[in-house]
Amino acid sequence: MKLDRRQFLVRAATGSAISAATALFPGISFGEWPKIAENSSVVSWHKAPCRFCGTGCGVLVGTVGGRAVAVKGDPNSSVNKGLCCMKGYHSVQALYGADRLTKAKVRKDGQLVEVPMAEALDLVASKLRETREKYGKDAVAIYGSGQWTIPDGYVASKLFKGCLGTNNVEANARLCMSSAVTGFMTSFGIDEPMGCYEDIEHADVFVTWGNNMAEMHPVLFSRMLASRRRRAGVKVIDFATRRTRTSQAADRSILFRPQTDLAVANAICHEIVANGWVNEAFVGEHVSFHRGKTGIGYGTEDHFAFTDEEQGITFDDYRRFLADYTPEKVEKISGVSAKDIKYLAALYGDPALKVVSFWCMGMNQHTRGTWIQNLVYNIHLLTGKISQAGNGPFSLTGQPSACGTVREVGTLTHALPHGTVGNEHDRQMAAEIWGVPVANIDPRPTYHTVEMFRALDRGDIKFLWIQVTNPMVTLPNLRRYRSGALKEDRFVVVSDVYPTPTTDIADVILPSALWVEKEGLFGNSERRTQHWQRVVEPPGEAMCDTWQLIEVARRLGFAERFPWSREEAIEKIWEEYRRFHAGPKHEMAPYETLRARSGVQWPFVEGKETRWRFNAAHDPACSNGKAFHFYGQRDGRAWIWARPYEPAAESPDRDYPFWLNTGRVIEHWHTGSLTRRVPVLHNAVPASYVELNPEDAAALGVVNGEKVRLVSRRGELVLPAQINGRGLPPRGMVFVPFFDESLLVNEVTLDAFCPISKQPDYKKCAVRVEKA
Amino acid sequence: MPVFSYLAFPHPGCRERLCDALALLPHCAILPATDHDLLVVVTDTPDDNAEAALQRGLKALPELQSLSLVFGSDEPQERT
Repeated sequence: MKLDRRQFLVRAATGSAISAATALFPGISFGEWPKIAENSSVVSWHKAPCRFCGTGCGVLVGTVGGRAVAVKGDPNSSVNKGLCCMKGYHSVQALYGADRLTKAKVRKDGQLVEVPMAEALDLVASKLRETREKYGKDAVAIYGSGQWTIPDGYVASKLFKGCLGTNNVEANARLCMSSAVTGFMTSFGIDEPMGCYEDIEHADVFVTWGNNMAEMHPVLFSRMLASRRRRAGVKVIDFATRRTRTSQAADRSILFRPQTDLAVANAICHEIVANGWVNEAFVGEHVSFHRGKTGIGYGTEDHFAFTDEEQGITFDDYRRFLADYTPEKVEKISGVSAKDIKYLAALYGDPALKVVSFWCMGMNQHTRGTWIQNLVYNIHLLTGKISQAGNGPFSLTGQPSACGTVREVGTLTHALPHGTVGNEHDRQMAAEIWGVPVANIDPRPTYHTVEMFRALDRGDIKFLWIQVTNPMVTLPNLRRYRSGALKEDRFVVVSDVYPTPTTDIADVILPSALWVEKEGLFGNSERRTQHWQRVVEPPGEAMCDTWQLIEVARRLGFAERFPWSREEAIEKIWEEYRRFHAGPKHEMAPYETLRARSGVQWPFVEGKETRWRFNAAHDPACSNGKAFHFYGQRDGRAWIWARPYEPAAESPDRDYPFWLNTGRVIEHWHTGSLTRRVPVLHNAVPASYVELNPEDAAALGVVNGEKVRLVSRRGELVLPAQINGRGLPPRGMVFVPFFDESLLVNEVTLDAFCPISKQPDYKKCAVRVEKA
Repeated sequence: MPVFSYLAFPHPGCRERLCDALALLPHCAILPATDHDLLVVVTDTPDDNAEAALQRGLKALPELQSLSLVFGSDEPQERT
């Protein structure tokens, strides 16, 4: 933008005053400055949610001359209150990696060659049409992401489910939070947390269940530690399978053997019942008791199917079920002392203490993921510590819009933006809003993520479009799925911003716009929807994923269903989508409100956000005249489930005597395709490694940095040992971060999953460890 | 045609009222800090009379505790 001399003087005057204020008060924020400073010589600041984890920190992105140059925390965001973690502060650098994809590529004679974007989109549309006509509607599929924006996921679902008539829509959030969904659905009949981050300022006790928050949700962990510093008596209890930075900061670190969190949760409930700590008034008014099938399998075979059967039971039945879980018995299973189990139970059972339980992948990536969620809810329900400030179970998410796009839009095979494909009313609603015949929407779900890639391997799926995710790094038992994708007559389209192992298998690569190069919306872990504007142009022919889908939809003859101009598309899509959630249980804020604010929590009813659901003092959907109303379940109550301890799908044995646990490090986001392009983050942790217990390392004769070979029944991997690093596994366990595409730990992991949620367990399989 | 910028500090508890009062003054733009009781005030007046009137208006604000000049430009060649 050109400035005349007068405008320049005004900008200089403003900038000088701001500089003077900053000298007086370092870190002072002027949120309105961007409205004044939109010129090419001064940094202008634009609100956005952070691109990385599910915390949903608000950031201000600084731009100069059409380039994003800086990031600071948004002081107007209640999530992070002006703070960011190391990934957030460096996030804009992820836009400018040297190998950014800027042109479309098409595989010709085995080589990927650059073509105009329009030609690539023509090819995608023609292949999709041809495959559908030749092999049927369920031979085409789309696989998206919890990093999809809400409009991306909505348009994908509308195109594939509404127009093409296939439920072959899945997202990588199946790999990270589908157990959280089924946990909510089975216990409460409705998805997503009842509480909010403000719980952190009210709780007396925090229990992190298999959750290394110090590295995975560092801003929330900082809030927790600040709360502990500010108020006397606040405690953090780390309950995990290995010691981490979270353990170091915790008041108490308690280790359990993998999978035995199920037994410990039941033992805590046993103690609560045995000691008379049950909140009888709450339980009598608001809880009912249930059991389901047991011995439910692990899903490692093709076409695995499972349907639970719920059966109502009495409190006495439940008490008898708990008799198997005395602390003394569970000590033998779990390795957690009876004394520590009683300590945990006493914290939950003390009516004077407010307790928040946090968890994420440790409980989600679990072959009994749904069950362990149920069991932790049981603890909070028995004690009535739920849906109140500082009292509640809190399932965190790992991706910026796993909640907003995957859970709320419903980009999973069984789901719709409201409800499920199996429900006639929900199909009719979708058909009406989408403007398609209701017969277009198939009432039968097709493939969950692991089964979708098995279907690609088998040839049941021939055409797969992958957007904003990197399954050739993240799928468990990876070799099987990579070879499946490479088979002849499979056609794979990949939309991404950088080359990855997934673009390596593509027939077409579509370059995508990233984050603030497009307008979008995310939804975070606490039901907060966050909007941002496009503030810089995408490079080359890179195009936002929403628009790629619309371009293909139009080529397929569905232009009337996607009639919007590029300028107005996001607003129009949002306003169409939010019709699905009308009503007090899930009302979403209008576009203009989201545009103006640094995030808005739903239900957003009559201009008011809902911080604690199911609590009549806060939640406008409560209608039973009582203090709490669990309106998601048919009986208006929350459900306590009798779920037993069952062992892992694969446990250490003589041939494979170690547990393998996988996860993340603070410096890297998921598969590292973005953070490894940020020099500061990449140099901090340039390569993956295997954490070994020092005694195991000594027994193997391995020293720090020496190469170690991990061997499982599925594959092997050689990588350097890390001993006494940031993480310390117990004897008999190793841990490997999965961010490094040149050291693919998922060639070793097992593709067993929770039979209810279909989410794989990346935390437990058996390996042999050898000096390489 | 002077351009000035100031840091304005309100009396305790008067931040919002000061913002409202400043917003009503002609040739005066404000930029409130979001996390401190402090405002940036930028004035851009067309002539000396307007500048004098604005100065009188600023001095008459009861909510204003202090006003510190940071930047000033008054270029004679631009005068008409």
